[in-house]
Amino acid sequence: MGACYLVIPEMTSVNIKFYMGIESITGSGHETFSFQGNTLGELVSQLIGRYPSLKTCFEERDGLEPAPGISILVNSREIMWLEKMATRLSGGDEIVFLRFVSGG
Amino acid sequence: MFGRMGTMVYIDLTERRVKKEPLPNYLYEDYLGGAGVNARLLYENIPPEMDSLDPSAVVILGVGPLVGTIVPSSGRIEITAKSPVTGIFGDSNAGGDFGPELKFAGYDHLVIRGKAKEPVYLWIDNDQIEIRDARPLWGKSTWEADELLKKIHGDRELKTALIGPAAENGILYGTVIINRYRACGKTGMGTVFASKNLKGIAVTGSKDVKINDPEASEEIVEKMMKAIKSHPGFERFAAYGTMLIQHSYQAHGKLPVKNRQEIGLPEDLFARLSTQAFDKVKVRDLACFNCPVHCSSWHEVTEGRYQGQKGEKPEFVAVAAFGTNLGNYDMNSVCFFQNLSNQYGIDMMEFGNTLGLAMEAYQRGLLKKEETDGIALEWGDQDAIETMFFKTVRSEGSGKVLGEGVHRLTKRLGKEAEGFTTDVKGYGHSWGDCRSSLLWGLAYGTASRGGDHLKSFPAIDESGRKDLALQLFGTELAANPQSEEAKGKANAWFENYSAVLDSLGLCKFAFTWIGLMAADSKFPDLIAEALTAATGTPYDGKRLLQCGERIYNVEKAFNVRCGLKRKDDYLPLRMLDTPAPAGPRKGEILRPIYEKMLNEYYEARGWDQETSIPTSQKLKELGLEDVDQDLAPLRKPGKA
Ligand code: SF4
Repeated sequence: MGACYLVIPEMTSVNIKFYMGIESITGSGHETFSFQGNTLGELVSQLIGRYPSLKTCFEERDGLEPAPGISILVNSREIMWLEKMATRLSGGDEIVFLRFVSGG
Repeated sequence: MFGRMGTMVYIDLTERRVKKEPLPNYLYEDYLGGAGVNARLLYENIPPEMDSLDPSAVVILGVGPLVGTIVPSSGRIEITAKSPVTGIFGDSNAGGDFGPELKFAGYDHLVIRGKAKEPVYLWIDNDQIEIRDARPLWGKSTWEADELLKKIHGDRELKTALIGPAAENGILYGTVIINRYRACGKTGMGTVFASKNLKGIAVTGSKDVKINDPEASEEIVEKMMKAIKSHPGFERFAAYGTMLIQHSYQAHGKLPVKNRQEIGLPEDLFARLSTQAFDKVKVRDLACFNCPVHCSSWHEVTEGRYQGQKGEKPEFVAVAAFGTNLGNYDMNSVCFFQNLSNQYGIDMMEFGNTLGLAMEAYQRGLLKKEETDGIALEWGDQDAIETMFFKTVRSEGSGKVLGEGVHRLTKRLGKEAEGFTTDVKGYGHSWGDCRSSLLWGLAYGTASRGGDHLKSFPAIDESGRKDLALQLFGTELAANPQSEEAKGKANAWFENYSAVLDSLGLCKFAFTWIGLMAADSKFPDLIAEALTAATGTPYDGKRLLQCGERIYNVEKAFNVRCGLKRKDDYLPLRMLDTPAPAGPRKGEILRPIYEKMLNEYYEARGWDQETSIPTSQKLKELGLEDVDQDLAPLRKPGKA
């Protein structure tokens, strides 16, 4: 029998901000968060592990997706214009959870 | 007459004459009311060479056919005149409940010209309109004058539209303050009042707005309410209104800091200007006439330097004007300066832009202490901001220069200042960093009243409504703030839609920001149904938007006659040629993209690419043959 290897995904450390009432769900306005993996989906599932109520900002469609009205920005770009929950993250990225508000 | 009261009033302050006339058909059919009718009247009554402060120049107040009805958020008033700040088309719009009251007194429009010998105010009590002595009110703040008028007339419910000492003292961007807390803030409408020795207007009315089909009206209003309340962010809008924008700006990399040298703030500083900071002083919710959104609220500061400040919630405009743009990160001080702005009657945005420009000039050594009356214009120095505010509203020393606005200060400072001014068509542009949000940037550039976000208010950008973008503009990318796709088309559409809202008397926050962006809202059509039910004249969404297009073309034609060309639709150099210091397009230059968007905009508008003058074909299509004739000599030979 050969050796068995357990592949542990790399840790990525990102800066997270919660705005527009979402901070009252998490009890935190901003923090640096380290998670295993390198996609937004992985980040979100681990964040929900830490803040279970954050689940209310998401719904299951083809996997977990932001609930209507919830916007997620990676480095100031909305994930709907990136790869949605598959958006790849790098160390030091800024991820903001907020609501859709456009204003002049 | 249904929906409208059917009466316009011509007031000549020189002759002390008041004349009532029926509202002509062509005006309300083609221009709807409010802003639209005002724009057409301004075009007809002010020749291009006339100075905005000439006694013969008119200033026009207008309310739309849905104002004062059961349609939600229908309390807007529009004031229109040639702007003393820019010398081009000027107008300004406010909520509150002055607009409905003017209608309940029986009037759709007031056209005021002339100059009174001594300060006066207009007293309107239903059919009675009097020009009264305002000497006891002159020099008083809008809050004091409002209080005095309520005492004089023994009526606590009196509605007022008043100027403050700033306009009386000659500041160019004086405002007209509606019932103490709402501002017709843009383009110096208060200064035009002051030039006529007009302190303001007090009105009380008790008439009904007659509705053609009340039952249908009720049904439509129910649908509108449902749509507005269905927006997933409704509760947040209701709680904080435009204060949500500072959070959105901070997240999207648009928040202007220190005259736009920087974008965005570290979180500890941002927190001092956040909705949580406002929670500490918020007391209760408030609303304009018949508004389910109630986006305003009452604040009371209970500690610190600004203890005792009370008033309506600062809008995002104030947070940027006195906060981020001046490097001042303190919500209580923003409350204080907003209250002062309402009391003295000064446009916060133009003041914040002008002082921001002066502070950067000071930082660069272009302005010296000798030129600022010994004041060190350091970022975030609340004493300096307060001193300069009072110097400005009193037109004292260097405040006199600040009171002339961004454009004139840029000229005084010289060539180098062109690299960091916010001047668009003579007015400082609105707050978002255009390099991070292309559609809003284009909107600032093309706004008919100079550098403004509300003439278009293209909220599709950052709304997440790909589906609506596809439906309206043929591509989802119109909703992507970082794509230049379809931005010209979208900007033209939103300018037309906003012209409709301003003409009917509806609030853009309720009907664009929230209503249009709520799923399945069907808004242009639903508004058309409400107008049909109110007036009995059949409208559909298409016809409404064509009215909006006609109105915007008349505003454009006014500016073309004043000499404006394509070069005037550009953003200032910092936005176009300086790489964004942060945000989603960090390091990129906007100009090549802006050129493309502007070309697409002119194409969507049917305006000449080279000169920006509306083509003959477009004007004829809109039934504006007379305007076409006026513009013909201004076109290049061979261009139609
Ligand atoms: S949404 Fe806000 S500004 Fe608009 S009418 Fe309602 S309370 Fe007034």
